[in-house]
Formats: sequence, C-alpha cells, structure tokens
Amino acid sequence: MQYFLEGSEGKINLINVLPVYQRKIIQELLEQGKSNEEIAEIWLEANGPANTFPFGTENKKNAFFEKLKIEVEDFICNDEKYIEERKQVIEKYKSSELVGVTTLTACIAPVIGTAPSLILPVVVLILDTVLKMGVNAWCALRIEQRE
Amino acid sequence: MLNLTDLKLLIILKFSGFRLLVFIRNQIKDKGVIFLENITLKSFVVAIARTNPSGVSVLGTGFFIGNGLIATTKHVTNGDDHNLCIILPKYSIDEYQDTSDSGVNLMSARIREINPIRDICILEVDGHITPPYTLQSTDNISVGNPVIVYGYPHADHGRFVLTQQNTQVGAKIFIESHGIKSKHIVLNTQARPGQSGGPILNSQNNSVIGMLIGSYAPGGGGGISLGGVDPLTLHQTTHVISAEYIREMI
Repeated sequence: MQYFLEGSEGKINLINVLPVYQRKIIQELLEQGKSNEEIAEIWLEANGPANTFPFGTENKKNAFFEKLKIEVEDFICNDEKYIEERKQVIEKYKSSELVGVTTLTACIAPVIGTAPSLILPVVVLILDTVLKMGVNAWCALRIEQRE
Repeated sequence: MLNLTDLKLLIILKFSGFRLLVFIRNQIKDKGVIFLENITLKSFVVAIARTNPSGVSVLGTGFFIGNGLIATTKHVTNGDDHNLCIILPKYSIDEYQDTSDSGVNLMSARIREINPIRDICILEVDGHITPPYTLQSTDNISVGNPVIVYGYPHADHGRFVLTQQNTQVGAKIFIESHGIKSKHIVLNTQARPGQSGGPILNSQNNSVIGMLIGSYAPGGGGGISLGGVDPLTLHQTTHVISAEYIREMI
C-alpha cells in the first residue's frame, strides 16, 4: 500500500496551506507554547469570546476531536478504509498540498457531520504532527494508544 | 447577461414581499453580478435556519456581504451546514409583519469559512448579490455614536420578526478567547437569542462596523435558567465583534 504523506516527512510546513485568517490564529496559539493537539482541541471547542452569552437559538459545543483523529488515522494508516478516496488524495497531493489536504478533509467531513472548513485546520494540525513524527511512527503510536 | 440563478434570485426577491424599487445598475455588469441600489441595509438582513422534518428552526441572523456571501456567527451554525438555509425577509421593516404568517422563502446555504475563536462564519448561497454598504471596522466609530442593529430577537421561541434597534456605542473593548484578543464594542441595548449575526450599521456613512454576538455574562452564563431565560443576560451590555475580522475571511 502507498501511504498518504509517505516521503513528505520533514519537508513541508502544512500550516502554510491554511487560509491566512486561520493560519494567523494557529501561529498565535503556537507562539503561546501550545501543542498541535491542544490547538486542535481549542479550535473545535471554541465558541467565541470569553464571558459572552451567545445569542443563537441552539448553543451546542463540538466534541468530536477523538472521532476526527480516528478518521484521519483510518485514512493514513488503515489500508482497508478510504481505498478509492486515498488514491484520489495521493494523486491530488502530488500536484498541490492544499488540494490534497482539502480533498481529504472533504472526504472526512460528512463522516464527522461537520463543514469541511471547520475541521480543515484540525486535519492540518494532525497531519503536521504525522509529518514531524513520521507516518509509521504516528500509526504505531495510534495503535498503542488505542490498546 | 443575467444568468438563471440570478434571475431566480431576483424573482424570489421581487415576490418575497420586499416591494423594493430595484435598480440594476448598468443592467447587468460583467460576470453576472447584480448591483442593487435603493435597497437599504435591512433588505439584506436574513434569518439563518435549519430545515427539519417538522419544518424550519430559526438559528439566528445573518447579512449579505457581497458575491452571494452572508456573514453570521459560528455559534449560530455550530459549524454544521447540514440542512442549513437562509430565510429571505418577507416584509419591509416599515410594514406590519404578520406574526401568524408561517410561510417562508428559503435558500439553501453552505458554510464557506469559519473562525470559532472570533465566532464568525461565512455562508455561501447561489446568486451574486452585492449590497450597497461597505464592511468597515469598530475603529471607524467613537464611543457615544449612534448605531442601528437589525436582527430576529426571540427566535428561540419561534418568533420571526425583523427588528430594528437604535442605540449607542457604550465602550470599546478587547475580549479574549483562548489567549487571543479581538476588538469588540459594547452596545447600550438589550439583545435576545436570535439576534446573533445581526449587522451593526454606522448610520452616518452606511457602513457595517460589526456583528452582534451576544451579551456580557460572567463565565459565559448558562448557569441558571428561569423559564428558559438566563437572568445573567438581562441587561444592556451587548457584545459586537469588529467587522474587520469578517473582511479578512472573504
């Protein structure tokens, strides 16, 4: 099986594929010393400024970081899921990291039940961790964590 | 040329009770963009809603910001565009809005950009509408200046009435979210659920300077509820985020 991201480890900074407004926030949180995982959780849980009661009519919070990590893990490490999608993403990723990552995000978003633009930075942060650790090491760690 | 989507949109606008005098400047400019004039801001304020088997639930307020894009808050959509739509206003704000009229004109909407830290969400609908106001910033207004708020208060109880509030800027503040500070203003008026995503108009120059996001509540409120109302939110300290953060997302 050809792993998605195989050969890209340590070569690119995936955070740069994000839209400027998202990148600026991720950078600011990184400068505060937060880890990729902490930032990903903040991004999914944030619901605007502190000490403010939101005046929407449904005030829910998202709590699906672990579910999202499982889907990304399936995409990267599990050769029995996302077979066709993975082929497409690998092909697109070769021509542009942005298109590859947004395609992957678009594949996962309906499974999670959210809009791709909400989870794009989270997917990027997970992939950034994968690239820093190496694909095999990250997949092995995920198996270990699940056990 | 006017394309089919634009035509549909124009027909919806015409028949949705706007009764507006729509001038199409230079007929249709290139790329099918429609420029609407002589339509005031309130004509571009929509309700954000979600369809479900029992009908439609209004989630909050939004407003057109150009090229078929609509600004609202993140918490209104909760990042989920499943069955998401906008409701075009049926009445001019000077008309008597029939509160027993449950018919609505829906347009399907998708989430295009989202910023949960600043609580902003940009939606996309088919059709290219360019509103006659500019997006500015809370930098462009002073404390004490008059502003106008539009929105759908009490939408959590199923009320669907486009409402205008005239008020003043009470303060300029930074509010933090996870260590990131954003520019806000305080409005000296009471807001209620359904008004999130409502535009704040600087009446002196016809620009949108911010978007209503909620009210001050220590710890974010949500502790006590009396008849579905959090008493901590019953005051005149309404928070508005600067429109400059909307601008950087489009």
